[in-house]
Amino acid sequence: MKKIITLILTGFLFAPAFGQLDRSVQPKAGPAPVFNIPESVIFTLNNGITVILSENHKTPRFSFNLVMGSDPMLEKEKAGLSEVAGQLILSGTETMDKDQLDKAIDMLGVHFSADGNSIYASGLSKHKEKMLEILQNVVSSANFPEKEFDRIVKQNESALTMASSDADQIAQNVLSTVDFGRNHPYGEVMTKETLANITRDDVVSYFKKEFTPNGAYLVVVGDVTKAEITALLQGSIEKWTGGEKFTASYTVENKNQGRRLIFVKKPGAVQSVIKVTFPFNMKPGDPNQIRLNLMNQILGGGTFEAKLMQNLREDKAYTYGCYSSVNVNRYGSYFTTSGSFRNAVTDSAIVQILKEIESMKVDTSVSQAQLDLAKASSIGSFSRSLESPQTIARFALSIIQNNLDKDYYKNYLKKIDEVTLTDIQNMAKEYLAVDRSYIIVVGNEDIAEKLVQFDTDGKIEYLDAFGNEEAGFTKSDLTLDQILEKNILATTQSATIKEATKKIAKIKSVQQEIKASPAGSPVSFDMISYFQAPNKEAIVINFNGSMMQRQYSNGVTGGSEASPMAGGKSEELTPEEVAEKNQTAGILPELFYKANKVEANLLGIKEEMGKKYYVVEIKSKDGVSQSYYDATSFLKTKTYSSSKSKDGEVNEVTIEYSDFKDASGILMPYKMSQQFGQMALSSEVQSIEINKSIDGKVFEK
Amino acid sequence: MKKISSILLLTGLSTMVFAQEKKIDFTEYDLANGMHVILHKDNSTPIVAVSIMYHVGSKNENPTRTGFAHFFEHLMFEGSVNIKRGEYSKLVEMNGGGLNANTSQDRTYYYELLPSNQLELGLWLESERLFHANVDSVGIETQRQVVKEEKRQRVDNQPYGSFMAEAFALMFSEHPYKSTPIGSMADLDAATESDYVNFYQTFYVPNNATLSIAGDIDIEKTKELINKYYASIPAGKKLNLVRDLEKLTPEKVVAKYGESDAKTIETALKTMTPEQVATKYFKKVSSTPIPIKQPTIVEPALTKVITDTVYDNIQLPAIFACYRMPAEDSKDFYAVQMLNEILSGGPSSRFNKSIVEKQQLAVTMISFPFPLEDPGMAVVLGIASAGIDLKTIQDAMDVEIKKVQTDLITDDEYTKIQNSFENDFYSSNSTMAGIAEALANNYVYFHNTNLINSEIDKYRAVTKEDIRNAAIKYFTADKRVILYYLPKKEDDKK
Repeated sequence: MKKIITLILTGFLFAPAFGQLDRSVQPKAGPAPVFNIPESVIFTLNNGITVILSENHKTPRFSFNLVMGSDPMLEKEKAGLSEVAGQLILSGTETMDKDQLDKAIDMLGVHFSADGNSIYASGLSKHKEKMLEILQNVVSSANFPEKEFDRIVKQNESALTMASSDADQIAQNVLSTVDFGRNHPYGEVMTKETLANITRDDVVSYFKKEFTPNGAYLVVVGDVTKAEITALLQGSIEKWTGGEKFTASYTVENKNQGRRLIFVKKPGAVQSVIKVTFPFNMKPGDPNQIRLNLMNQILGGGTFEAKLMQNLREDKAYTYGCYSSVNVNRYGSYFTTSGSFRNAVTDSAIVQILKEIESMKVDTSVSQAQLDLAKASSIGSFSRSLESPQTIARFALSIIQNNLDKDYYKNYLKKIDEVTLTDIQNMAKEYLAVDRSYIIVVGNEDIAEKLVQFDTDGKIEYLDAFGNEEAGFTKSDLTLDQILEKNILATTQSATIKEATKKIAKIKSVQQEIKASPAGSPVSFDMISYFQAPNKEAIVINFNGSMMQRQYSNGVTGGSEASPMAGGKSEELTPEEVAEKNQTAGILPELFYKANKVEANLLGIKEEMGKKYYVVEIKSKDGVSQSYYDATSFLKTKTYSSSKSKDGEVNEVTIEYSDFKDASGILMPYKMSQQFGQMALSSEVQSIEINKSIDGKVFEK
Repeated sequence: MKKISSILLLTGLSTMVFAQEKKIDFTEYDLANGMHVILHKDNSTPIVAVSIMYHVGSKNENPTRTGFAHFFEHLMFEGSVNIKRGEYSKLVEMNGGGLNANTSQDRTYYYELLPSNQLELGLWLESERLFHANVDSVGIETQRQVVKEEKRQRVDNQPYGSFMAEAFALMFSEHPYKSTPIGSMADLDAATESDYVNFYQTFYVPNNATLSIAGDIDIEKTKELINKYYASIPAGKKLNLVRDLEKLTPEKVVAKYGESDAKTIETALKTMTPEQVATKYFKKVSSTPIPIKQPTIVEPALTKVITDTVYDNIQLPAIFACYRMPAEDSKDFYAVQMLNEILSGGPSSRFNKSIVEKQQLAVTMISFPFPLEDPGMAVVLGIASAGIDLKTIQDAMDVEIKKVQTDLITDDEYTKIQNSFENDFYSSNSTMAGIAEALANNYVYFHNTNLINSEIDKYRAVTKEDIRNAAIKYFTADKRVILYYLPKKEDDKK
């Protein structure tokens, strides 16, 4: 007996304290989580608004999203109108200007935002009445002050400048225009041209047309009961009146017969942004949508295990990241891959991307383990998204807008679970129209010829940064000499070259005082531009009375310097650079092209932004400069230059000149707007003094 | 008009927002090995945040071994005895989760956000790196490079990136806050493997760890799982003995712990787990948790103005005016937080309206605190508009501070900041990740987990007079550190 007891006790002593925990074994997952999506309460107001209420009393927070019921409108030559209008909705009402509105919102510690078809607000539920008051004020009397309109237009101009050198933005613009085309709202992209066509009146009438209670939705989330919200809405937004909502229907069709290579040139690019894309028909809630998403997850979803990542990054190291996505929308759906790749491997990368997409159609290329991983990942992201009460509200809205089954989201996880390998393969076969896709490449022009192989009819299509056909040059009806002569005569307001030469000879010096302000900056600074015949030039930039920067050239030597506050850098020009500068010195270098042996080249006629120009190009060692002469007035209204700096960076500067006025017989521009890289500067000439004596020091080091 | 080179570059810095807490129910208890556990149940969404906070930060480092705490944060992703190098993150991501970690002067925090049916996975993962993470030369060498890269990318190559290190070094002469978490490359290079092992064995122990879990859990089931993975982790010297048995040769272990003999241990390990071997053959090794000593140095008060000029790769000069700040949870702390909001919270704030918009002296002017466990630092940063002298901005800033020291803020301003803090308080606890961290913070720093619910009352209790007094007491023009950041001169660049 004793022996047995001892044995039992010994056994106890040396057994691991917690039974069979083997730390080397990864624990298994529990059963797929079940969750409850709380029911939303839905009711309609007298003025036609459908209210979706998702009560949540866990925290004293309250938010609403007022979404218009209109279908999107085609904007055509005013593309971007809805965007601009959205940015202006909170700029003031009949009873509150912008400062007052900002203050009212700030005081409550709440947040308001708006876009072209919705207004959103969130804050503490104790402020809900005031928040709804503000909403009612805005929708019924937003008045789009002129000052704010101008400011927003300027802001958009800067954004467009930046966008035109942002490769990802460019690729997305082109995707929109090719996948959806000109007669679809998704295919319209704002450009400087379309922005310039938008007036304040347009914004006002857009708002009237789009913002109406008829067919609108008000999604309310948070700490409020149905009784409370009904009463509050009665006292506010229910009073709002408006016209019929706007309806339209749009179709999407992939009309390609083969693959089309679309190229957008980006000077100096060291990487290519590649998108393999095509549109397709599918509405949200389609029985195939979840299967298609899982197929996409395996092909190019956000994990390292996805096929595109495994091939293009882990195996070939062509890129940091290559993904694919499926975008299903009520008005049109599309598929696209994404990623940036070194220039040298752009063609190889396209080969691999196409190969991976094709392979999804083959039954042996996807394993059960891969499918299980994709499911786990999808279930995980879906579950995590439920944490936000806004997600619940979005689901409720989606069910109504897309006519989904009312339990659609409740069954979501189950539907993911049910997908089989056969489903995956079928989705690939049915939807991955890779042989009729667009291959968009935004990159360095040098690589384009290697990509011809991917275009079914061997013709690459060139588009610009906004998805429009690249503007080329048409043959000029005038010769270079004729154009230069017309410019000289127009600028000097002369009838003959002899007369013009005399007028110019009389001008020994020019001093201009200019006020300049960078886009988006509240400050402006002063510039003084000096010229001493024949080729001494200097520009001095001052801020608050002290010198910030100076560029100078005396015809033999030249350079630039900056004060410590402006970077403290000083540089000198090489003799070649000074010689080049001399070629285009003075207020009318055209008069001296022959004498200075300037090699100018007539490119032709170009139409841009509704304007017509004769374009003349001068090549230099590391770049080009182009002069644009207005086809009607022959004044030089635009210049463009591109040069490569010592470290290989490409710098582009575009300047537009306007408001030409007489200064001692010469027509000179009093307004300039410059763009260089991502910066924009607008300048106004305050005064021009001719033949004033200038202290020569300003042209020297 | 010919080309003009660009000279103006507008930069903006986003204001840092500090999250507050809301009414949350929780369960907390200690394990026998000293680990603290906090559980918050919320079944509305099928997710769970699993996190551990270790009460070790840069202030616990040996002064000749700075950067360790942060370095360890990286090392903890290198795997463990049972998790292969590179697998840790993958395991989380493959299962629909996300993960992250961060290190401060006072603590190191790790968390995973997972679907709730993967709670056990999360517990296992964290238990693995608490119990026996891979702290060896392979991982150390790999992460040394990664940390160096991080320092380059996030500090050295960032405009104004060095300000934290510069400011803390001048503000603190005795307290370990004089070094910042990123540490020095020289110290990290000089450290040996045994330095790293010592750090792990000292600070990565159950009684220095708080396990904080928030999400779709069943309290009883979770407690069982915590028992399974954590209660079984040894404590005290015994934990390190077990770790050593897993990593070192029997000879080394026997030599280190002065018990048993190599042959016996070698044989025993063939049939028994390291824990069983430890229990049976090392009777002298204690399992009593060893308390972690936190530094008790009190930094002497600042008595004057300390200034310094830094030349950096920047376009616009900037001024950093730094003031001593009260410790978190002290009454004054809340007043200072609210004062900061008055000075620079939002477009209608004092600094923004006056200095940025009206006088146009700065492109941005913000006031932000570094809330730390021991008394820390508050910073006012102004980035100059082109051509504006830093002295001009400093004077303008002092004028604004003098105003809040002299006159009470308006009723409207008071209402605004109360609403703003209340809004932050309620909206920050809308995520399980946020709640898990807040619960852990409140326990580790203040041993008052319920602050997650009661802290808002401390803000509500702050009066206009308190704000004025805080301005007088802390934003002292004659006792502060001022850094002037100027663009590098041409020769410096070469």
